Amino acid sequence: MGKNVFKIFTLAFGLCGASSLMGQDYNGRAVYDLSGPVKECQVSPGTAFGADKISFMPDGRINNCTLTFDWDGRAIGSNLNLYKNSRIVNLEYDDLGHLTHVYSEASYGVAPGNFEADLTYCDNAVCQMVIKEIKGKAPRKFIYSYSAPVVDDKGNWIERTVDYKVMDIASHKVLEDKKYTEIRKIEYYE
Amino acid sequence: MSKINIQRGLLSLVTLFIALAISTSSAEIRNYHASALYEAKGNVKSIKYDKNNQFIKKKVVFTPDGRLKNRLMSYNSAGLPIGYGSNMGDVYSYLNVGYDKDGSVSKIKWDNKNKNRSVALISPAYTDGVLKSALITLTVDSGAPQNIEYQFSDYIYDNSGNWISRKVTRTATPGGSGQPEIYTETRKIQYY
Repeated sequence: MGKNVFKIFTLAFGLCGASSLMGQDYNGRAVYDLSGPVKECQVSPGTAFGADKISFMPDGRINNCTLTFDWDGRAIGSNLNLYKNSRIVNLEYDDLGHLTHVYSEASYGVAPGNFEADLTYCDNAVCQMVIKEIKGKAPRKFIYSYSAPVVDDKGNWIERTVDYKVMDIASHKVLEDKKYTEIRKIEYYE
Repeated sequence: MSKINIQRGLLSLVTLFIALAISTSSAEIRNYHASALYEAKGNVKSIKYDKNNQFIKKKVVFTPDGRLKNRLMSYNSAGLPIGYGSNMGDVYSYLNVGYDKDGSVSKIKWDNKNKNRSVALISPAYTDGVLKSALITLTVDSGAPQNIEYQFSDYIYDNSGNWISRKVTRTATPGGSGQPEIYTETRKIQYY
């Protein structure tokens, strides 16, 4: 699962794509811990955000994504009711506009559909993310602690160290514990 | 997508948003109130319109808990539909619905791109909780905005208090003939 968090978020936002609506800006980039005129972001394989890449419209909406934005241009989640499958995603932010909580509930499967994620920020960047499975026989907790970030000239991290731990929620048993470096390549609109 | 089709579709967007004032009466029963977007209250199972268009299927179906069936829609804490976002790259559709304090739809923004990009802002007006008119400002690509006004009257209701027939007077400026178009809109509603 550790390799698939990015995918999980992508799935959580549905089929996670661009334009300006009456000149409005959207906060799609903040959902992915990005700021500035990011056009595309690709995270290195084997990291917390997997090998996927995400792209953005110039106004900040996320390409190839089913995500609802409120009147202030803030991504708030998604609610898909498709035949017998249902998927509900809710996003919450702090006063600074940081994404702090993701709730995802799906009628199908355990992971990646049903989880809660809590994100903690240090110096405007995510320093910890805890993902808890909310269904299943033995729900797990995935803890990502981030340190030593290297940032680009736009202030977005492009490299960081990840302490990754997987625990059984009921027994607190550590199922996996490792450290690795996460890298992402960011392309910006001119 | 022709402008005329867009306008016709917008009429149904009008039908998309109205009955919020009455929707709250069913809040104790259903978790969601998607039918409010279709000016309907109660345990609505389906609504079938007499006309088809690109925005609203001729028939819309609701789940027992009040969500739109087989559709994408976000809801607020009161269970009212507040919009959606569907982006497939070059093709996208976004909807936002705003409400008054009394739960009535106060504004709608629809941003859609297929071959053309269309942005519509819709402002409804009520009298004693009944939708009397809606003003739509439609912009297609970089063209000049067009105003389309709908007036509604002569409502006929079913036993649950939902309208099943009404008279529509539509006036479009500029781009229209300037002459109002008058017709009757009907629909059939099924309940759980």
